[in-house]
Amino acid sequence: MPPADPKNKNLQPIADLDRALHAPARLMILAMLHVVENADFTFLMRQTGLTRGNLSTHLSKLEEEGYIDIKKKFVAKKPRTLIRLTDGGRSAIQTYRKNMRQVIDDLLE
Amino acid sequence: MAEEKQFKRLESKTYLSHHQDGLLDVLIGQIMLGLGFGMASGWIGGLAILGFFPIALYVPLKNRITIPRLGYVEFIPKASREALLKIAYPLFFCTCMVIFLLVARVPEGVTPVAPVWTPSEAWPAFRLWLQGKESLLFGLAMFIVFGVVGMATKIRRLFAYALLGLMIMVGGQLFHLRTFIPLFVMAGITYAVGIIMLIQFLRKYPIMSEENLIGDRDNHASS
Repeated sequence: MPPADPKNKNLQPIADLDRALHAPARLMILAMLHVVENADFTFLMRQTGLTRGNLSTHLSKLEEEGYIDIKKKFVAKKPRTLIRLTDGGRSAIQTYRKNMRQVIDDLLE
Repeated sequence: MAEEKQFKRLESKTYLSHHQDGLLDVLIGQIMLGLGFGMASGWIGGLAILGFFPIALYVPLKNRITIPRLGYVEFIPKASREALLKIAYPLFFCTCMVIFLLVARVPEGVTPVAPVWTPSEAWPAFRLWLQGKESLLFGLAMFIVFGVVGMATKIRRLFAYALLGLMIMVGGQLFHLRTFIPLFVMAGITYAVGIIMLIQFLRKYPIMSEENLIGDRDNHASS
């Protein structure tokens, strides 16, 4: 979806919010990955409460945006999918936080 | 700043959730049992086999029980936590060994089941003084070790074990009980807590079956 171009410039910070992040499920995933080094699929599923299919879709979207890095490796002959927040993802969270605070501050003024 | 605090809280909760499986408590119970058995029998091998061998089983058990249910996670290394844990393990091992070597003896009326370690004759007066305060020493050692590990891991029940251990051992000292009796009491408590937590954990987090996974995909497809 193309970014909105509001006529009222006061609404611009809202339009500038990162859509890849502005979904509760994806925000939950990134918040969780922000506080750990890396985690596997089961861990994220347990922590976020998302279903396997849902989580898979959101992870694909975040990987597409370059916010997370997904690596598969074998531990004791069993596959393990490890997910890690990239530097881009970390800075995206910071930017999102800054923009969100701006939006709330503007709305409360 | 508020967000940073929330992230820290989230990290702390996530870290603690990985220690709600009761394995740590069962391990502590096993160590206490091993120490108690070693003291009761005078068999130092009992201490080594029952007390310290289970430490080697902790990671394989975690891999077998916790990770398939809760998932795998690597936490961001924290210098303070790592440093405290690095101190805690040798501290625990050395404290136990020093106390054991200084005060261990075959209790009256107990037939040793295996080769008996004979205390050296060095510093007999000091050793006798220590032997008189055996329970108290174990209580203090427990208090310090549980306290340090509790501070490192922020697992609150370890502070409770620190206090409980101290109280039980001081009680044993006051009532002139043989040291292994309060140790067995402490082992029983931690074992019971661990088993209850483990059962709760296994019920709360069953291993995902293939049917569940297929069901999840179908739900997703229909939504």
